[in-house]
Amino acid sequence: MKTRLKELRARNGLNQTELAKRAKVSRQTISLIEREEFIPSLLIAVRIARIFNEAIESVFLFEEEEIE
Amino acid sequence: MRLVMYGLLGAVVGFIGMYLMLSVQLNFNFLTIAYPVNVVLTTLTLLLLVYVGVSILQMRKKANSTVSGDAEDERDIWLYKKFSDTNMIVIASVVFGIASVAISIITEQATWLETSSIIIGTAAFILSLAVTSLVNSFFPDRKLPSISEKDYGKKLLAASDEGERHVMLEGLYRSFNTLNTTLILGLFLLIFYSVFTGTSQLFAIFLIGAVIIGANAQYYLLIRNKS
Repeated sequence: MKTRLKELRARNGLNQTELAKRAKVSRQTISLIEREEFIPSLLIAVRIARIFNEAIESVFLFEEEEIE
Repeated sequence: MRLVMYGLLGAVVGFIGMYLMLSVQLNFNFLTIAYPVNVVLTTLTLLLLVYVGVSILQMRKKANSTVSGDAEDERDIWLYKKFSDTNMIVIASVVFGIASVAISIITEQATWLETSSIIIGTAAFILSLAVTSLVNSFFPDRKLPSISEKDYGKKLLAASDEGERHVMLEGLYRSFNTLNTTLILGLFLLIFYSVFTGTSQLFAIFLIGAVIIGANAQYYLLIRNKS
């Protein structure tokens, strides 16, 4: 899974700590997701997508073979 | 498979190493070096405690600093790494402290050394609790349990989010596998030691065996009941 989290964060002027507070997770979790070392649960993915007013699939990008 | 290979390799290396050591020093008497070992361990524990004390002060200062933007993230990363390093050092100091207390009591060292070992060993234990409770002051807005609470480990796990649990799982599973392998290896070494020196290590063998069985039963019963 790829993610645009870093790009969206930079665009919105948010650091990891602020995003973490808004998404009600730890900064470590945001960092893990950004480094693509951890796929978040649907609940956290929805929260993050909502913070950026984006659809989940435009924040978290899956390769076709990952979904099939 | 790799774990089994490492285990077997470790067992072979351990056996050869122990065999060579024992064949050279079969009549080795620990009592002859108990005093210097006790002094070194006590001093080492004290030095580690000083490092831990300085680290606690550094972390408190850093945690109270006001930063924003990327500097806030960098501060959090610094605190996280420093906290992990300090935990590692404090655990080493507790083990060294216990070892120095054990040597001084078992080998009946001078009163000043016994007293120093006990004081420093106790300080190490108290500091380990202080380090663990530091995390609450780093994240005052999170509902993290206090170290004095019942079922602290369970509550801390429940208060952690999924990313933190993912990291803990990776670390703990590796640690669990390493412990299993090294404790089994330790059992073999104790058997060889008992046979070659004639000093029975049966109590330690039973104790380690019970720990291995208990820890593994706890793990496998938990995952079995989550079917």
